[in-house]
Amino acid sequence: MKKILIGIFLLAFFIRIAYVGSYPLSLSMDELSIGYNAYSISEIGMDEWGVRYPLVFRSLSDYKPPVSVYLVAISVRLFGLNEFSVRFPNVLIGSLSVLVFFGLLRELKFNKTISLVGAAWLAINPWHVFYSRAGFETLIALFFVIAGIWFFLRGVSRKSSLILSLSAIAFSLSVWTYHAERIYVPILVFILVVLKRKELLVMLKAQKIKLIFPFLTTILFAAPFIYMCVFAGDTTARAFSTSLLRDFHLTGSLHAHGYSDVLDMIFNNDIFLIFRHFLGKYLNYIDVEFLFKNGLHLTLPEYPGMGLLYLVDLPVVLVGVCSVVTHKSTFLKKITLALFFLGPLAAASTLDEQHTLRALTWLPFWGIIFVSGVDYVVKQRIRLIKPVVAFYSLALLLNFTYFADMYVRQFPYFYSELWLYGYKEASILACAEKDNYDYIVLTDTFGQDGPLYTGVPYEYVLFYCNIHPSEFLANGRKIPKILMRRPDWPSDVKKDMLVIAAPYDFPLDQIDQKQIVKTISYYNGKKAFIAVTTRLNEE
Amino acid sequence: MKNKLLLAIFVFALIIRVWNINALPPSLNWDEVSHGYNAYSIIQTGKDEWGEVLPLIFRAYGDYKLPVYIYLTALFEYLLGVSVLSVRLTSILAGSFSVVLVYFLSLEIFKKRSTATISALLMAIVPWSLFLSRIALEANLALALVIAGFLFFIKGVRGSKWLLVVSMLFFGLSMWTYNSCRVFVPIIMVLMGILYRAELSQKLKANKRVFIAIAVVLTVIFTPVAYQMVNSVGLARYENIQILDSGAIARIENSRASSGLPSIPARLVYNKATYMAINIFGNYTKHFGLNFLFFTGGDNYQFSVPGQGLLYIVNIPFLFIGLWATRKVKSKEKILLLLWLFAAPIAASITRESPHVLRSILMLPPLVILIGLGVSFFDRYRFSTKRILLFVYVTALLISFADYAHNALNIYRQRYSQSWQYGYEQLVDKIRDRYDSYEKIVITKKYGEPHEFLFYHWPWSPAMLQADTSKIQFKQSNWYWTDKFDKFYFVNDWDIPKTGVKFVLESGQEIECASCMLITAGGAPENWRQLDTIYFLDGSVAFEIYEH
Repeated sequence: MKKILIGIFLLAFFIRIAYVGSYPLSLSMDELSIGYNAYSISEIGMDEWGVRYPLVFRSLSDYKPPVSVYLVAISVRLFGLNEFSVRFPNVLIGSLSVLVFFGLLRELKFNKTISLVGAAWLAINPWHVFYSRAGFETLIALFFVIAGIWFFLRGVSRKSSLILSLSAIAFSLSVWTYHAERIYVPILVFILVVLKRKELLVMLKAQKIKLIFPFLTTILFAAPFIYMCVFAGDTTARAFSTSLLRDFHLTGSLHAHGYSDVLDMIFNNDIFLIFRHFLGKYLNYIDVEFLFKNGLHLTLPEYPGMGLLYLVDLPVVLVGVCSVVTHKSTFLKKITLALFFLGPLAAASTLDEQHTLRALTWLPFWGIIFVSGVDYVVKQRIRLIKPVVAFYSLALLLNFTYFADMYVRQFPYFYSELWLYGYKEASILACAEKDNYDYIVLTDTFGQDGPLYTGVPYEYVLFYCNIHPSEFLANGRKIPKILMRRPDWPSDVKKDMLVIAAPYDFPLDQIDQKQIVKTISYYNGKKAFIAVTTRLNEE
Repeated sequence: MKNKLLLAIFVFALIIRVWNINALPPSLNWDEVSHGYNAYSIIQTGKDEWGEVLPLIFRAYGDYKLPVYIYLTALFEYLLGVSVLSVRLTSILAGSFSVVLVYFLSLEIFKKRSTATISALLMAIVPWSLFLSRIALEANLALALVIAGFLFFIKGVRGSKWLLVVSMLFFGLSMWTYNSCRVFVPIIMVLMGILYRAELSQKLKANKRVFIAIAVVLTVIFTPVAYQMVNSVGLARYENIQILDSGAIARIENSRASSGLPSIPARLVYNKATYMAINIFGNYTKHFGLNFLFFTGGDNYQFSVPGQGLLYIVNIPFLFIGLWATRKVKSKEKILLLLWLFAAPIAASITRESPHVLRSILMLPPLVILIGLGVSFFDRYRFSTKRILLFVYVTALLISFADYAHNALNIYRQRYSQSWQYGYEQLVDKIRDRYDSYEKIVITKKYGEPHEFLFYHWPWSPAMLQADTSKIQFKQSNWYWTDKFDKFYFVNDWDIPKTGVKFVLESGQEIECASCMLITAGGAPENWRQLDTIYFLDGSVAFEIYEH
C-alpha cells in the first residue's frame, strides 16, 4: 500500500514538474511579482517597496498575502531567479496535496484501496494540475485547507490536542495564503466544530488544559489577521475592489439616492437586489458545462475545451451523488453538503462569473463525491467489474491525452497573449540595448487583436534583467533609461530611441524595413511586439 | 366550491393574457405577420401566399411553418377580422386553457386539490407561460395540446379506453403544430408504451375497436410526418439551426490542426461525433440550470424579458422539495411526469442557441406540477400555521408577478421595441396614403422581410399577389427572399447609394428612380427630400421616408 501511495505521489510530481519552466508559456503578472518580491526578500529582507519582512505584500497594489512569497523566496535562494524556482513551490505542494487528501479520505472512513483511488484522482485532476504548474497562491491555500480538515478530524478521533493544534496552524496558514480562504475557512471551521461538538465537549472535560493549545495557536495566527482587517485600509480596499458590490450590472440598479416611493422600496429593495445578484452568480457555478466541458478556459468558447474535471468522471460523480445522499454516515453526508455549498461561496461574492481560481476551494467536494461513487460501485460486487475497470481506464487515458494536448498545444495557441507571452523577449532585448540608446520605450499596452490589455513591463525588466532590488530601491523604484509607456510615434521619432511596442502603435507604411530591429510573435504566429529604432540611417 | 377557485384562476389567466394585447409585445414580429397573412390568404383564396392550395406545410420564408396554428388563425381572422388580437388569440386561449389542463393533470397524478390549485396558479402567472401566451407562437399551442394528450392518456389508462384515442389525437395534432414535438412526442410515446405496457395490452386486447382506432389515428398522423421528413421540407428549418454548422466544422478543423497529437488520436478526439455529443449533452444540462430557469431566461429578447427568470425565484426551494417529495409517491404517473421533464429538452438540445425558451417549453408543466407538490410541504403543519405559510407564499408570488409585469410593461416594451420590428405598422399607413404619387417605392431590408409586413398591414389582396407576375422572389442559403412585388422594391441597407438614383437589388437587377419613395433606416443619398421619420419606442430612429 505504501509503495502504491509513493508511486501515486511520484506520478503527481512528475505530471506537475515536467517542463514546468516552459508550460505555461511564460510567467503571468502575478507570478512575476511574487517571484521578484521573493527575490527581494531573499536578497535584502525587504519587498520591492522597501518594507522589511511584510505581512502583506503591496506588489502591484493588490496586497498579496505573504505565504507564497516566502515559500518562493526559499526556492529562489536554492535555484536562483528563474521560471522554475517561481513555480517549484506549487509543484511540490501540489504533489504533497495528494498525500494529504489520501489522509483525509482515510479519516472519512474510506478503506485504503478507495482512498488510493482518490489520491490518484487528485494526482491527475485537470483543475489541480493546472494550478499546480504555475505560481497560483490558491493551490497552496487549498493544501492547507485539506490538511486542516484532516488534522481536525484526526485530532478529534484520536482525542489529541496536539493534532488539533496542527489543524489550527494549517487553517491559519491557508488564511494567510489566499483571499478566498478568508471567507471560506472561518465558516468551515465553525461547521466542523458544530458537527463534532459532542466529541469536543468530551475532550474539553477530560483534558481541559491541553485544549488550550489549539485555541492559543488559533489566536496567535488570527490576531494579526484580525488586526489587519480592521485597522489596515489596504486589505479591506482590495476586498472591496473585487467584491460583487462593484459590479456595474448591480450598481446600476441600486438606489444611491434613496427610493422614489414605497413601492420602489418594496419591489427594488437594495438588500434584495444584492442578494438576488449574489444568488445568480452563485448558482452559475452549479453548471455541468462549466464543470465538465469548458470550465478551465483553455480554449475560446465554442471550441473543443476542457472542463474542471474529466468528462469520464461524470458517471462516477453521478453515482457518487446518489451514494452520498443515501449514505449511512450522517457525518459524511453533512460535511459533504457543507463542502458543496461552501466551495463557490467566496468566488460568488466577487465581481467575476465562474472564476476557477477563487472557486478552487470546491475541489475537495468533487473528490469526495468521486470517491463515494467508486466506493459504491465497488461495494455492489458486480461480476463484470474487471472489463468495466479496463474500459474506464482506457477512456480515462484518452481523456488524459486530450487534456495534455489541450494544455500543451491548444491553450498556448489561443491564450498566449493572456500570459503576456513576448514580454520576456522584449525585456531581455530592452536590457541588452539599454546602453546603445539614449532611451528605450517599452509599451505597457498589448493584445493580438488590438490594444486590449495593459501590463506591468517593469516587473518583467526587473525579473529578466536580474536587476538587484537594492539598486531598484536606490533609484527610487525606477529603471534608468527604460520608459514604460505606450509610444507616441510621431513625437518619438527624432530622439535616439529603441521603441518596443505592438505593431498597431506604429505607422507601418512610413517605417523603413531596416528600422525594424526585431519582431516578437505570439505562440500562434500573430505579431506581439516589434522593436523599431529611430536611427534612420545607421551605416 | 373548489372549482370556483379554478374558474377564478382561469379568468385571471385569460385577463392577464389578453389585457393590452396591442401594446405588449409592442408590435407583431415577422413570424406573427407571416402567420397572420398566410391565414388571411387562406380565407380569401384558399391558398397560401405562394399560391399553394390548403398546404400541410407553409413555405413562408423558407422556414416551412407547420399548419395548425395558421388554420386556427384563419378561423379567428374570419370571425373577428384581421387584427393583432386575432393573430395572437390562438396562443392566448392555449395559454389560458393550459392552466386548467395543468390543474386536472396534477389532480390526476397527486389527487390533491390544493396542490393542483397552486400548480394552476403558477401556470397562470409564471413568465414562461404568461409572456409566450401573448405572442402568436406555435410552441405555446403545442404545449396545450401536449398537456391535453397526457391528461387524456392517464384518464384513458385508468378509465374509459376511448380517451386513449383522444389522447393520440392531441399528441398527433401537436406534431403538426410545432417542430419540437416531432422529436418529443415519438420519444415520450415509446416511453409511455413501455411504462404502461401491462395496462395497455390488457385494455387493447379486451377491445379491438379501440386498438384499430388508435392504429388508424397513428398511421394518419405519422405517415405524412415521415413523408415530409424524407422530403427535406420538414427538415428545412433544422438545417438553419443545427449544431454542426460551417462554423463548428471550421472550429473542429482548427483544433485538429493546432493539436500536437498524431493524426489518428487527433481524429479520435477532435471530430464531428464527439463535438456533437458533447455539445448536445452540454445544451441538455443547460436547460436544468437554475440560472436559466430562475434568473436570466434565454438569450432571445423576443421570448423572455432580459434579466428576468422564467419561474420566479421564490419557487427555487419548492422545486427541490417537490422533487424530493416524489420519492414517497408510489405511482406510475409520477414516473411518467419525471420522464416527461427529462425528455422535454431533448429537441432543444440538438439545436444551436441553447438553452432556448421556446424549444424547451414542454418542460414547464412538469416543473409547475412539481413546484406545486413542493408547496404542499406546508400541509405537515397545523391548520393555522399552514394558512399563514400559504398566505406568505402566495403574497410573495403575487409581488414577483407585479414586479415582473411592471418591468415588462414599462421598461422592456420601450427598450426592446426594435427586437419586435416595431414601426412597420405606422410605416405602411404612411406609404398607403401616398401610394399613387410614385412610380416606385424602395424599402430597406435592414429589419428583415419588409414585404411580409406590407402584405399584412396593408392588407394586400392575396389574389392580386398570386396573380402578380412581375414579382422577384428567389432562394438563397435555405431561405426565400423577396426583392420586388407590385411597385415595391427591397434593397439591402448597404446597397443604398451615397448619391444618385440607381439601386442594385440583391438578385442582380438595377433600377432607376424617376419618381420614387425611399424608406431607409436612417440617411439617404444626396438630394433626396425627407418626408417623415418613424421612431422606436426608446426614441431612436426606425425609418426615414424620402422622395425624389
